[in-house]
This record gives sequence, structure tokens and C-alpha cells, in this order.
Amino acid sequence: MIQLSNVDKVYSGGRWALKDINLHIKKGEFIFITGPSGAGKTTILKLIYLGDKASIGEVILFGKNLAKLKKGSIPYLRRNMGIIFQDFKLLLDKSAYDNVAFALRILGFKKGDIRSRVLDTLKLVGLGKKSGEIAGGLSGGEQQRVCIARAVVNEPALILADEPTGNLDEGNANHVMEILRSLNSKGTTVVVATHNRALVERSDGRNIFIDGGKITKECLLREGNVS
Amino acid sequence: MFLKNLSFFFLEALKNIRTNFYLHLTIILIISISFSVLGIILIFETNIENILSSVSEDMTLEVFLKNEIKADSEDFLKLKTFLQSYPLVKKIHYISRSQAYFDFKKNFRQYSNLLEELGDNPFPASFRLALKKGFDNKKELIDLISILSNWKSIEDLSLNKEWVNHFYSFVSLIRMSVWLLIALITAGMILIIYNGIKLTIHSKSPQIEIMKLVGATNWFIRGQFIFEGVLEGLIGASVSLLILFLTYQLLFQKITDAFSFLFPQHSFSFLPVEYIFIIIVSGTIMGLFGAILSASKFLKDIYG
Repeated sequence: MIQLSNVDKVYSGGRWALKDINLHIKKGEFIFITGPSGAGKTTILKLIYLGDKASIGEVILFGKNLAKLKKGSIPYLRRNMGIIFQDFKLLLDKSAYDNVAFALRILGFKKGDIRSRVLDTLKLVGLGKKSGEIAGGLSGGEQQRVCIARAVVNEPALILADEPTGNLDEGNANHVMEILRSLNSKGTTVVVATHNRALVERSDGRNIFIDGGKITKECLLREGNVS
Repeated sequence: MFLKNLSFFFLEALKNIRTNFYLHLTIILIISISFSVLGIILIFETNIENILSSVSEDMTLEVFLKNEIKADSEDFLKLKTFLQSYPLVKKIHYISRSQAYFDFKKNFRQYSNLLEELGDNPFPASFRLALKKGFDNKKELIDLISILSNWKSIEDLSLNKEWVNHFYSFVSLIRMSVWLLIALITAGMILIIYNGIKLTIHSKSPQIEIMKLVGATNWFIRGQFIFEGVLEGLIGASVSLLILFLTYQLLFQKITDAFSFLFPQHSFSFLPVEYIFIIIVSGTIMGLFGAILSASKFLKDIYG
């Protein structure tokens, strides 16, 4: 589903964010990308959701080479992804409901479908009673859950989550991981970038450890299979 | 997809206007003022055009014949046939020497003594040519004057080439000035709308970024800004018409008095219906283009 081959990312001023990344993520996989802050985790996600372009190398997503993708095709590719952002990227002057409904409206869902889907998803993330509240007035943890609801509401084929539990207490963090697990069990591919070691240690799946822009370790969690 | 989301775009545009109310109010006011200035120019253009077209319509060329040319002579008939068949000439009217004498006597009674002192009839016979309407017949008129100037049986003409050249240069100068002003104001208005939408887009860049990341196409995002521009243009143009109409009503008597003093045979009129329609449509189109231009340019800066 996702293939990064010999990918480098160099920012202006010659700062290397990624160096020689080779990564293959299969359909239906649950994968963690871990490492310290500034290691390049978010950059990898950005290359996948076309928020940025690789300087060198090839990124293939859903069988398409992203370097050769026409601009007009980008939105349609993004519709297959749900993205959970570290900084949430919410419309702070709109309600929690509107923030989630907004994504479905763009995708062309019918009004009736939008309502039932949005309310069900907000209930799923524990915000059923706060759907009418303005996002700017919600706590950090609640805003993060609105962001998660928006990412999963259209049941995308791929979920990219950048520090999805960063602002949550342990109980809510576990709940979010359960949601992602449940989506994964239905066939959704999930990529989680996090520096939360505790969260990774109690999870199943594959862990890619990244440091200084390079993949330094890869293992299957709980089995400790380092490659 | 675009049509399906029209109501969404419309509501978002209204929300944008409400959120940045003072910015949009300023843009609408500037558009209204610009269109009012444009409207004033168009009102004057309409009235000047009326005068020029009536001058052109009333334009006659008098062809004075030599005294020895008799009304039934071969030269006379040749000239008459030529004038009747010339494309620029609408109709011709022959005024004999005695007719010219009586006309003068009737129209200028105070000078009748002068005629009696002269004894002989000093007036030549003439053909009065009514010319076809339109400002584009300058070359044809000059050609006709050139031909007639060399005609043996003709003594003189009431118009000469210099006068015709000056008249048509004056008409073109007025028209060019009016259209230059119109072009300048139009360009100014497109810039105002362009920059207004640009400011809105900057203020909404977080929303645009999110829309892009959840899979909105650029046309979907542009939709609300296009509606915004169209609404601004439409409201601005309509308000300007209201300002113009109220000003016209308020100053009508004074303007009419001044105008009738300068041009006694013409009444001062408001914008014709087609110009009102053009102002509303051009306001809308300018809003549309300003929005498309700025939205296209600034959307590129945000996530491809």
C-alpha cells in the first residue's frame, strides 16, 4: 500500500530531515513510527499525505508514484486517508459537529448520512454530549478527539496519526488506541507516529524506530523481533 | 459537484462576509464609489453621445452652384444624379436663387434693407444634402468634399475638409477619454476585489489548509470565495446605482437647467436601461474574475 524507496528529504539551508528511507507498509497493517522529537516521524507522514515532496527517491501510495501524480488528483487520493494531526488543525470557531461534518460535506455525502455518521463517530470518541460545543472552547484532549473523529468518520483505507495520544490521559489514550485497533481489525491500514514508548510497548504491530532521519531499528512488537 | 454545493458556497460566503464584516463593507463601499464615478462618466457619455449623434444627424452639406448653371442644364442634371446616388447622402433638396432670397428675407427681416440696397439677388442656387447617420462616415464625407471641390459647376461648399477633420477628431477625443476613464476605473475595481479576496484568503488560510488535507478540490475551495467576490461586486454595483439615482433625482433640476443653457435642444437624461444592466453585470463579472484570480494564485501556496 505504501512504499518509500531510498527517500531523502532535504529542507532549504541543507538540513537533512530524512536520509535513505526504505519502508514498505502492507494493506491492513498496524505500524508505529517511533523516535525522539525531531527524528523525522512527522516528515514521513507528510510525504505520505502529500503535505511535502521527497527530495530524492520514490514514494508509492495506493499504487501511484506521488512524484508523477497530477495536481488535480491529489484531493482524490487524500480522500482515502484520515489524518490525525499533532496540532489538531480544527476550525476553532465551529462546533465539534461542524468540524467533523465538514470533511463529509467535502466528500459529497448526503445531509442525512452526514448527521448520523457524525453523531455516531463523536459518540465513539466520547464526545457525544459535546457535539454542539465550539471547538475552541474544548480542552486539548477533547480537541484531539474531535480531530480523531474527523479522520475516521468516512472510514478511510489509511489512517495516518501523528502523536494521536499526545494530549490525552492514560484512560483516553487507551480508548483512542482501541478505536484505531478496531478500525484496523476491519481492514484499515494504520500508521501511528509517536514518541510515547509506553504506548508502543503495550501494543501489537510493527515498530519502525527512526533517529536523525534514518531508520535505525525495526521490530515486531511483543515478539521483540529486531531486524 | 460544483453545482451540488452551491448552497454550501453561498452560506460560507455569507459567513465570510459576516466574520470579516468591516473588511467586506470597505470593499463594497469602494466598489460602490468606483461604480458611481463610472456611472457619472457613463451619464455624461450618454448625453454627449446624444448631442454628437444629433449633430451628426443634423449635419448638412450645402453645395452652392455657379450662377450660370441653370436648373434644366446638362451640368445641373449630372450633378443632381451624382448627389442622389452617392451612398453617404440621405436626401437632397434644391434651393433656387429666388428661394434662397425669399428664405433670407423671411428669416432675417432686420436685414431686408440691405438686400434692397444690393439690388441684384446675391444668393446662389444650392443643393442641401442631408447626410446619413453615424460617426464612421468621416472618410466618405471627406471624399465627397474632395470630389465636389473640383466640380466645375460648383462655386463653393458649406463644409471644408479641415472642419470635418476637426469635428471628427473632437468626437474621437471625447470618446477616447471616456473609454480610457472607464478602463482605468475597471482595472482599479478588479484590483480592489482581487486584494480584498486575497486578504480574506489569508485570514482563512487555516481553514483552506484543512479543507485541502481532507480532500477538497481547489474548485470546491474557490467556490465560497467566488460567491464572496460575486456578492461584493453585485452589491457594490447595485448600491452605486442607488447612489446615482438619488443624486440624479436630487440634482436633476439644477443639472437640467445648466445643461439646457449649454445645449438648448437637448434634455439631460439618466442612464439608459442597457447601461444599468451593464453596470450590474460588469460588477458581478468583475467580482467573479477578481475572486478567481486571487483564489487561484493564493490557493497554490497552501499544500499544492
